[in-house]
Amino acid sequence: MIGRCTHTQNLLLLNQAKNTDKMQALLLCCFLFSLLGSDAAPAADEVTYLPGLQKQPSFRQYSGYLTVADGKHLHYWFVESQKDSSSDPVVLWLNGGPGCSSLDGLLTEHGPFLIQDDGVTLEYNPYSWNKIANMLYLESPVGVGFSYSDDQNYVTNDTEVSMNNYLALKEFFRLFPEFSKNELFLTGESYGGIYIPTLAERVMEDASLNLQGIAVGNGMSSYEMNDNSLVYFAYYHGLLGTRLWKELQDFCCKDGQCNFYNNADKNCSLSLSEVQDIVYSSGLNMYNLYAPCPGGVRQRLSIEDGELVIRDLGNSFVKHQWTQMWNQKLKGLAALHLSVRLDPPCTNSTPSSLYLNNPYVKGALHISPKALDWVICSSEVNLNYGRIYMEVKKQYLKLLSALKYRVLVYNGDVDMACNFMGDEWFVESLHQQVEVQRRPWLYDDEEGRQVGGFVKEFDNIAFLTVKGSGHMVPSDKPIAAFAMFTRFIKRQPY
Amino acid sequence: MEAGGRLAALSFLLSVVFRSCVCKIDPAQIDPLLYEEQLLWVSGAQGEVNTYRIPLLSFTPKGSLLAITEGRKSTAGDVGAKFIAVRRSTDKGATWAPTTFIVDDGLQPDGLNLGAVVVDEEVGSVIVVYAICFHLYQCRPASTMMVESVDDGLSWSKPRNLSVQLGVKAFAPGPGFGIQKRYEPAKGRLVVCGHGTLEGDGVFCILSDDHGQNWYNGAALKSIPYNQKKKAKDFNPDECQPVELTDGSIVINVRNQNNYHCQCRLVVRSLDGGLSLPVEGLYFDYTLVDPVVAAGALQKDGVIYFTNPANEQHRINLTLRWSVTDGKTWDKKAVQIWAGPSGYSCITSLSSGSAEDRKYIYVIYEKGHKDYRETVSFAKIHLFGGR
Repeated sequence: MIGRCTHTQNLLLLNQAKNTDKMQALLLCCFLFSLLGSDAAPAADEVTYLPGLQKQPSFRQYSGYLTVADGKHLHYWFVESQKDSSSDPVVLWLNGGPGCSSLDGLLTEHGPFLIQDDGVTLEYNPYSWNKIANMLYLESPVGVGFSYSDDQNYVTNDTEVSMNNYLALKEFFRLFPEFSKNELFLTGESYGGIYIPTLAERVMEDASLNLQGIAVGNGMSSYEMNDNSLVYFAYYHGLLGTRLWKELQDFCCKDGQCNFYNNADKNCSLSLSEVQDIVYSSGLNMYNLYAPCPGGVRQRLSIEDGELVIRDLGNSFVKHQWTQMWNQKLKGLAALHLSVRLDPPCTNSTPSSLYLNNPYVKGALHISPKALDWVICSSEVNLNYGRIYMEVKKQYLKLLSALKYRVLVYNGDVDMACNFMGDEWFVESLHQQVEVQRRPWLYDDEEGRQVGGFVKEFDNIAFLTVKGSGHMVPSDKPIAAFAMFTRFIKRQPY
Repeated sequence: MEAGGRLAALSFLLSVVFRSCVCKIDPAQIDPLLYEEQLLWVSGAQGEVNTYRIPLLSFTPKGSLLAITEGRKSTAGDVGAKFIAVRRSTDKGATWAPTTFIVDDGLQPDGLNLGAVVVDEEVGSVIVVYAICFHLYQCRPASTMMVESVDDGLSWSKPRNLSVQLGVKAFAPGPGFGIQKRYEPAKGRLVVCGHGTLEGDGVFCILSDDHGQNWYNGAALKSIPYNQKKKAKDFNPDECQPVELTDGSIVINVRNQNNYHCQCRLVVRSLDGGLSLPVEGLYFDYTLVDPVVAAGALQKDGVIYFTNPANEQHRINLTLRWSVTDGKTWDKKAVQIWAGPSGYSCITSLSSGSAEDRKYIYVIYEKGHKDYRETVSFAKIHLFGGR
């Protein structure tokens, strides 16, 4: 009986103890054990009542802090599996940025309940990933969302982040030892394309963590391939036109090889700035070419109610002079303004912000008074972030050479932030043995059998597209995303 | 014109050399040797498929080899969702292209079942015939399906439902290959044989005289009692492999499901190109002891080859036998391909007539150490002791 008082245990107690006094004594006993218990979930972190829901969930959830190195407090929100929490895998989820909050993943992508437009109501998500897995949402690094640092220093880099994420995972399993034997998967999106493999590189060295695999959705795997593929993507999706395309060919390409990444040719760079403007600043929704832009067409940079609003995460064409000048300008402006906000373009984060900054919600989630107000992305973290890895090939090869991890690289195929082609090239560049040739993969929805996209399977790694989906695959194609996720963690064929 | 004439003369000469060549093999020459072997599929490996089973092997019109098998997505059982997986070799089995899934039945509770592969050499096509919903588990009715490749197995047509032509009946083709008649009667006809449900069992053949455009029901050898629940030792012919003898008759080697009369294979013969299987010609081949399984058979250069796990009880001991007497007698020097667990098998060969192609037959079979469902293995067999 030492351990956490699970629902089943409580039910058992209720059934067995017909005598109320006896039951109370048992419950008290259980409560005391839970205080003592070093092998128990932290009772203080349990979310016992969550505002916004019509009915409280039947699964357990916890929200609190994982404290690592020198007073860094990383906020986590852990939702147990709706199926069999004791045996289902633990899945870590990280959103990208760098500097964006994983609660966006929980509240708008694949969490058990999704935020509604009123910023107050939560609706249950029938395609929640916690239907079959224990989902751990971590706000990382410190400075993001409700995560904070005692010294309020939010300057960080890839190496430090992967180390602190690793330490946070260790801390999680120290607080939740009953999950330490469960299978562990590391998953993430976008800049998570850097976070996840660099974290996995550390986790795989630690035999106490039962790592089974990683999955990355629309991830940044290589800046070079991302930039190079984006230009093709844009042209062949009708965004550039023949004049610009010809210039790009003339100035950036030689003998059929194009370099759009770090081309020193001034004319090439100039043409690429046009591409950048079309893709990121013309009002297109870069996260889903075929979706409207929430909030309408807006500038990359604006001042709203005295606040400097940046709508650019700085992930593309990083090697070009104009990008570097732009970043300098942003940093300068940010220093001048008291208040700076980083909003991913064409993203409406108002409902999530309203909800999460509600005092009752913050109370329910045990948010520290030291935490900053919740915003979707931290400009401070983003603008000062040290990008150390320009590609993560080495990390993938290391994982694959262990011969035991299942790796999935999946991409919504109408995203332009991390377009599918760049990741497809990246996976091809790993030169793994092909196991099953590229094919459509299927799933069932209410209309019948559907093509979810395409998949090519190599030894222990698969590249998979989700047809018609943008950057946030579970938001755009929840049924397909859930089918894909299920097959991934259960090691079933796609 | 002149060049064309010369070419025609040359090809005539060649055809004389190769077709009516001294094709009879001296029985003493045959000394099969397991020459090369490789695993084409490992259950649980390629594409996380739970089990690869029911392997088929075929030559193609252009001299490639095609290995075809069921990829059972989440369980080892016959029911459930599956892929049809294909690998192709253009160098006589030395190397194989990665797996392609040519049919995916999604999440069907009672998906596809292989199946028979049949090559139409007259038009250069390869056809795979298979069943869906054969067990009527959460679905009905059962259907007979086909897919076709006209580019040597590189790409495949959409599945076509043959029930429109054949009527609704649970028919499980093969497993193995179907044949195109090379000799009269009915030269050019496609003959695909298989079996029915366990109750309505028996050997049934479907035929096509127009290269797979239209199919009709041919011969039937029904179980007794037909369409009724069987008891042990009832007459219950099941999975089968037809081969054409050089006299134009079709000999079908059949799984004896309920061990009627013996724990061995039963053999039945059609003299009219698969229209009938007269019971008078049926016999039991006591040499071919069998644990009740699908077996492989092939006729090459007048010799009949046969593979099965030669054991009365267990699926172990995959053995190759040969007969220079059209199956009346079998050479005593049978060759063991694999001593351990082994299940279904299928044999093919290339028949360009070249010296090299005369030397080899190719066997695909279910092979394991603890369980025959562990892998699907391809074996290249040198018929003349490697010399």
